[in-house]
Amino acid sequence: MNFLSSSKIKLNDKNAIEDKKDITSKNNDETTNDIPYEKKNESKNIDNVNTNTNNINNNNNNKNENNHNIENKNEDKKNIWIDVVYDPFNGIQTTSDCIDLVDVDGINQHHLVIADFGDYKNNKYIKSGSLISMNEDSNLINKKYNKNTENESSVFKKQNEKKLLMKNRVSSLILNKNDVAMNDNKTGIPVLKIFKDDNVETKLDLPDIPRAICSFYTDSQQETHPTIAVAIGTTIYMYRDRFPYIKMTLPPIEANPLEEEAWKNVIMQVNNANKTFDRNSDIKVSNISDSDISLNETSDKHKHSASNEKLNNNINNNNIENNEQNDELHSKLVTIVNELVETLSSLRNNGVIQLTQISIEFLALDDIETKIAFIVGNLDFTLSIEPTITTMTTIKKDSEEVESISYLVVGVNEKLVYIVNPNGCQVIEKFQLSSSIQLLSVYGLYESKYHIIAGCFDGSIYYLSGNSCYKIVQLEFLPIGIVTFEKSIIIGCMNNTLYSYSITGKKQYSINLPSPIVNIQELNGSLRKVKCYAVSLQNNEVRVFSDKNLILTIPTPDIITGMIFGKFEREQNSLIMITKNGGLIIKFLKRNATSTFEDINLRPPIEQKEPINVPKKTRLYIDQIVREKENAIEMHTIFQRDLFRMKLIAARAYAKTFKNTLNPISGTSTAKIKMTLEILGINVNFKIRLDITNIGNNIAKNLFVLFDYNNEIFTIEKPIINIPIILPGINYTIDCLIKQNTQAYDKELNNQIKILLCEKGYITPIVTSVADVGMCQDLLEIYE
Amino acid sequence: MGRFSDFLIALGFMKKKVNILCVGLDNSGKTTIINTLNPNKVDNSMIVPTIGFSIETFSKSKLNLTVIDMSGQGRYRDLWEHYYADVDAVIYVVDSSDKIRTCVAKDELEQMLNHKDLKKRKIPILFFANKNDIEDGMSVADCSNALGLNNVKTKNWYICSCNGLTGDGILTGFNWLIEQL
Repeated sequence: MNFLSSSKIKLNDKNAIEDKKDITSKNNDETTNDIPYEKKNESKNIDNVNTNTNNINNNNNNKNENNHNIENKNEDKKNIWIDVVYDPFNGIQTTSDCIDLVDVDGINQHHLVIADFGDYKNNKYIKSGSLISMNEDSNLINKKYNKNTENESSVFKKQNEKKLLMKNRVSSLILNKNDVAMNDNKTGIPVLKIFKDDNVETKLDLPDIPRAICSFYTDSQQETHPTIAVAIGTTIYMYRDRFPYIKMTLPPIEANPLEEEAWKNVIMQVNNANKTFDRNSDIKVSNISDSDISLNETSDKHKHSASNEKLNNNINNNNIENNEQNDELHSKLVTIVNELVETLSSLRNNGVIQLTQISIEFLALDDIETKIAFIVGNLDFTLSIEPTITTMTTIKKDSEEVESISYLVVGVNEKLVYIVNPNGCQVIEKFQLSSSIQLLSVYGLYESKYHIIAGCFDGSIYYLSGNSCYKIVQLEFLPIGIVTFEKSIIIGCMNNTLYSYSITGKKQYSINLPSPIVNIQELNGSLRKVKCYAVSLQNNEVRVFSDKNLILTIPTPDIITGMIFGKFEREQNSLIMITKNGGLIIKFLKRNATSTFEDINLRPPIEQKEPINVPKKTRLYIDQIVREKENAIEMHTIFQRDLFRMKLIAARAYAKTFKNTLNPISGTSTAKIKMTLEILGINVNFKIRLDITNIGNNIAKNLFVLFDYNNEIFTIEKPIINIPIILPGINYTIDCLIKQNTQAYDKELNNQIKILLCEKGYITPIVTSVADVGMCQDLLEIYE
Repeated sequence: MGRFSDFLIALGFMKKKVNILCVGLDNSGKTTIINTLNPNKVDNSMIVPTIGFSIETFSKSKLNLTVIDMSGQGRYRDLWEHYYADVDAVIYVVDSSDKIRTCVAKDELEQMLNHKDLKKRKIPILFFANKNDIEDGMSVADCSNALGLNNVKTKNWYICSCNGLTGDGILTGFNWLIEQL
């Protein structure tokens, strides 16, 4: 054990050194990176300011002149926003799901609340996805409780009761004020930020990267403060009055019976094996389990196994006489573990059953020694799947008012959607879907009429309601965001397109966008009349649509990853956007802009109002109309006669081409051959290039190309070219050199060359084409 | 007013009537300031957000003042412009602790100054940077910069910091306004 502790210390030391290195290197990076960024952004800022002043000027002009031209209206549209804040270095990393505007203190001042991911890309404190890290925070909480119990024994009893509660359906744990804040003095960790204006007023550390936040009221009493729920991993943390309040986990899902049986068998076998060997082997086992636990903390599996072996050696040295027994036990364990690995991996490879986290972690362990240690050390565990939250929203219970009671709607990775009453922590409703939930969008009130639209990872969209649950549509492209209205849904997909479906599953329209969609957010707030939604695109703009009409585009300095529209501080219509590089943008909608916003939906599009530029009626035009009125019948007959004549001429010409087989595609039954020709060159020496393709299905044999020309003008090397065979579908290219005789220019001769493609034994050629050559006479004259 | 009343005013038998419009964003303290000015009202502790507008009349020195206290809430700001035509002075109240909304105040001010009823008239505007007791609030200079007052060249204006609750600084500003009338 001494050896173990020393190795642990060493490991810790190494970690500490690495920490220091990391910090210094990060600092360096930051300092070097910041300078050019700042310059860029400064210039951007100046640009912004310039545009702003311009806008104001425009506005003034409009009012002076009282012009109602469409152009001016368009300009009006551009400057309906007041730019309040643009802070490019706020350092927030988040998405729309993790932003909310909450009246935190219940004084009608809606603060901005953001769950910041922190520097999640290169943060070593976050070990998300691992079983160990997920248990870590609960362990820490328990430890803190234990500390409390030293002082008061009654609390300990309560805690036990709470533990019992956890095993019931939805488990909830009432937290102390300092419980969740355990990442002391670490930078770049996920943080819940509560703003005042544009400054962070309260920072609350989060144990892992948050998935979604939402705020709601739990009781309808006046002057209650809202609760902020943060979904992290498998748990929902609830905050009230800027402090953690309740920790809630969803009911565990029972594991597949096959998997459960496999584990049961193994545990039984291991227990039997332990019983058959006497205490010596027990010592060994307990040692291994000890080391397992201690080394799990350092989470270094390679060193783990190495030290394990060394430990085994130690024990072996001590108990030489027990060596044989130990070996026997070991070999038995190896066979048991191998069997388990086989069954579990076969279950996993089937793809139908979702394995529990324990099984997945077990299969991921490196070698057989660690696997044995894992089993021996964890003989008593309950096999169940803790649902991982992927998305979360709220649904109002019975009133549209802001301060009415809400329920939580939670979508989990395990293909379930829950409606949870956060007040008593009960699951009210549960929906089973076919795939993992990715997106949720809610409309209506739970007590009266509501529907939830759920988007899954496989691209299917579901309609969930009190008594019905059906698939609306299976999308070809994966959804990015869903916005729900009373009778329609808007879905943004990865193919740069917005789709609109009715809730019965009928496609209404689709809008193609010039750039990939990053985010979609509904614009509610005080604009009750219009149903708008904002779409942020990869090409640095946010487009606001109402139904299928594009209302306005907001150019942004960076890609917008998160946005929210609503009441911010005391301002009703404000738009808050978070850029990809962590910038914060706040814009207020101008007071008189709301009306222009609202009547867009009611009036026809602007283009319709624009008058068409019709020229004035001339004298000639009027005369013509009069004449047409008087002689209508006569004109009609003349027109008909001419039309028939033209049709006749066309038909004749068509017949002629058939007769002479001038059509480039042959129409004979024997062979279907297409021949096109190209004349290359402008000088005395020409080249005729023939492209011959057999477009029929049969092989064409015994063909030849014949040149019909005036031999006073031209000399052709090979007037007859034999083509023995043409295979279907292959393009044959034949080049033929032609020379012009310059002496013959003065004579008025026909300078056409006829090219005939013939088949041996037939009179009519298959294809005929005519080449006009020899117009270089003028050129020659100039040069002479 | 006829010639007779002008004569009476000149003699000091009758007081001149003056209309003052008091505007500003919601929660900036317009009603509180007016109540502090009004000798008839004493209680300043319970003030609720004004709905629409309220009119107070009282006399100060040689003037009969009619103060139109407008509501600052977004939906009532449309009412402001209806009073621009027959107003002799404007009091514009700014909350110096509300930094984030100064740009809104600026926007509203610009809209007011460019309104057709006020643009051609040379009326005095008194700015109150209210709530100077709050610690991290803006100073008078900051307020004036944020509102872009240096660009206001067509009108007489004066800005002073004040505290509506204690009445600190209100009289200095108001005396300036009375001088102008």
